[in-house]
Amino acid sequence: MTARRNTPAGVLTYAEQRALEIGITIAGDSSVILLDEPTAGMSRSETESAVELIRSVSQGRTLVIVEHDMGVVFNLADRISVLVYGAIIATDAPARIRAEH
Amino acid sequence: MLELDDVHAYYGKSHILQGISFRVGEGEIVSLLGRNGAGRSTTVKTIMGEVPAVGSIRFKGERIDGLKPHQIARRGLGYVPEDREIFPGLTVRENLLLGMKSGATAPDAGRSTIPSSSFRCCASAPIRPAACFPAASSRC
Repeated sequence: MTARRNTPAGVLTYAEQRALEIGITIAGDSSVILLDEPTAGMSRSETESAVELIRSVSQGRTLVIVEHDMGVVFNLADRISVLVYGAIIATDAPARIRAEH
Repeated sequence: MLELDDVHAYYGKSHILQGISFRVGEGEIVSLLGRNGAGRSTTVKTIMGEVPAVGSIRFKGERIDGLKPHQIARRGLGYVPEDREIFPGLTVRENLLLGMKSGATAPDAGRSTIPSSSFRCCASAPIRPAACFPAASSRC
């Protein structure tokens, strides 16, 4: 984003705008960040970039991520909670969730 | 760091969250997984005070359920909703400065910096009131 600091945000790509949204939130020095579908609507390559961005901004922070992309979830999360009809039916490490559910 | 205990939430008469309990430790990344309508987004909206919570939500040991969203944000919880909008007429840098302003706890919150190298363009920028930006009074 550094090279585009003086660019109007409206001309950024969709993925860049989503990245900027994350930047706006971390700019507030939040210690916990809740991300709702951070990769929705992104291509595979954009999703990979977003995952790297999320990983970099997670340093020193706590994240709660709502995400539909299983690859993103299993790539990023330390723990996963599975919700069904408003109730959590399982909470565990990604490997155990993958194996048991 | 963040703890939900038997949290329920409703949209009108619809009982959406039916006793959610989970804990997020400091530095952890926790993902909420489920199909559309399972209550994932409602859970984060409830944490942020956008949906009234029945039950206990604690952040750093203190109850935050019942607080307004801006009060929760000031305690250090940041939220990136799925349908959030940026200010398209402002530059990238100006958008980031608005984020800094929203996270400040005092008008003279000093020279807080943006910590991520991905957004280094604002690393040395001081906090300024949103009113400093000509287009900030309305979404363009």
